[in-house]
Amino acid sequence: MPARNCFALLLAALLAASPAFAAAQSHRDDDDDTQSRIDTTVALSPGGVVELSLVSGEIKVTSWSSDKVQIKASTEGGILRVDATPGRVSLSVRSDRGDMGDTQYQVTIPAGARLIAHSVSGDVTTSGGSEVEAHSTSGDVDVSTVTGRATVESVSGSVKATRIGAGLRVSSVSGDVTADNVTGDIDAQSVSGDIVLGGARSSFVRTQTVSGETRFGGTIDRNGRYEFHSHSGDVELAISPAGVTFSVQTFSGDLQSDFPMTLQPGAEMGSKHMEFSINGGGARVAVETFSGDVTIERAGTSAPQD
Amino acid sequence: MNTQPLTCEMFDASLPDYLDDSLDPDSHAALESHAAACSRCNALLANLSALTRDARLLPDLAPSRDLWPNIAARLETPVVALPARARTPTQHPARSRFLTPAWLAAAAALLVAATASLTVLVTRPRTPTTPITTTAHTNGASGDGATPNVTPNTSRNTPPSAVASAVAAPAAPAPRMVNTSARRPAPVPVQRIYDHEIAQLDSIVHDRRSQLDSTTIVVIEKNLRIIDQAIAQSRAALAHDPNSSFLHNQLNEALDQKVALLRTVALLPTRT
Repeated sequence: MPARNCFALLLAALLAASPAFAAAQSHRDDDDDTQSRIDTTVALSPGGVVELSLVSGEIKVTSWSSDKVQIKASTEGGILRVDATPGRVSLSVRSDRGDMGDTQYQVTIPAGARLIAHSVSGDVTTSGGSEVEAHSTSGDVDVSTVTGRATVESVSGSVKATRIGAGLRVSSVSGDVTADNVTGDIDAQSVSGDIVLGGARSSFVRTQTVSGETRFGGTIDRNGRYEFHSHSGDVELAISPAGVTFSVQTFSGDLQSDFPMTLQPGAEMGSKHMEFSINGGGARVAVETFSGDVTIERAGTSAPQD
Repeated sequence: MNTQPLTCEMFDASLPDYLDDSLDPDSHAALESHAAACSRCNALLANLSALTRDARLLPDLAPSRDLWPNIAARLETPVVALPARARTPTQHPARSRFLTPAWLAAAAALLVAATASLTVLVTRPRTPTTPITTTAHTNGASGDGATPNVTPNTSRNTPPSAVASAVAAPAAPAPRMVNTSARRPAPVPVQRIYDHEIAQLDSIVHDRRSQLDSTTIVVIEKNLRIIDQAIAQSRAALAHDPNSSFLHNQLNEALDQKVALLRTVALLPTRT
């Protein structure tokens, strides 16, 4: 057979086999990355991102000193998918022909990794990470031991943040918001859920709620600013006797303070406006409520309760 | 023949004709005689004669291209050609007189002087004066009664001295000035902005109801009612004390929270 004919036959065979080869390769990819159960470990470069998302079930994240991400996941009826690049590992689940039961993630991330976790109705619990964002619609969210900044949000679930190293933004609509041992700026919001901040070491704190109660306890930075806004929810502050200048204003709420208060001449009619200082003033603490009561206590008299 | 000696005013009046060389010989001689005796008119005559001489040396200038046809073509009003004049400019003694370089230079100087004088007149401070203040009333009373008046008053930006002069000024007619602030769009009440934003978000949330879990919808609606109650309470308090900045802040915070909640709902993931 002439060489030219041999070459033509070989080319034809390759062309005929290529769709089958591609299909086989695709099937193998599916087998590797999309399935109902995953138990794998993948490498992640320093500072890389781990992103987890599910609809219902639970996300549990811990951290270790390794630079790898360990993933153990299972789903009832859904299809899991892992995408891994050196800088990003993502784990998600999608429905299989419209059906999907609970999904469980147990993931261990490098201590220096960034974590993003989304859930619709599932709970999210994380420990570790250099920076964490955790969101849920109706599930509870509990984030702890973050060296950097944390953002924790839920709509109807409760949210909790503990041992946050460099700032916290936390919010819920109806669930309670709790933060303990937070260093850095704190921004906490709710509509009807309570806001409880304890052991705060922040120079800037801002809370806002409509009907939820607010309780604050922590050290006060003499150069700091602390704002507490509420409509009908009560506000209780446990303040250490540092240099603080208070500005407390309420329309129909009551004021109680362990510290002496003086009514300023500029107080507006129909609302009570008190400005007073302790230990020469310094930090600015502002409280505004419409009908919520305001209580200012010396720290230690009555510690905030979770 | 007029034997009356020329005055400087008469000299000035005859100067154009002199420069155009259109004076009769006696007038020509009388003007030169006056210039010889009057240093002021002599200097003026020398300057204008030199200017006229130099101008005659300038080449005729013609535009590199005629722009007018293009301009005329873009004008909406059709351009109608004027009938040809009976005489060319060079045949019109009066016109030719005022088109000479000397007259053009004099006209330019006059224009500069007039402009400078007008500038001085316009920019000269007038005392006393009445500052123009604009008070924009956004009618809260015509609304539901709970919406407060928002009354931005530009007199806040008026210097105290101007305010004092306004108080002391008699009821003299104010200078006719156009109040440019009246042309600016009137400030929109902040409540209207919130209402607009909330209405849009409400529409989005309404469309998304079928995508959300029923339990979540119940929670959201309950909390929206809580916020609406706070808004209503703030508005009721403002109706009694419409100037309270504290109550305005309370109302705005409640509205902010409603907007924030609706935004949150609009961005919620679907239940599947």
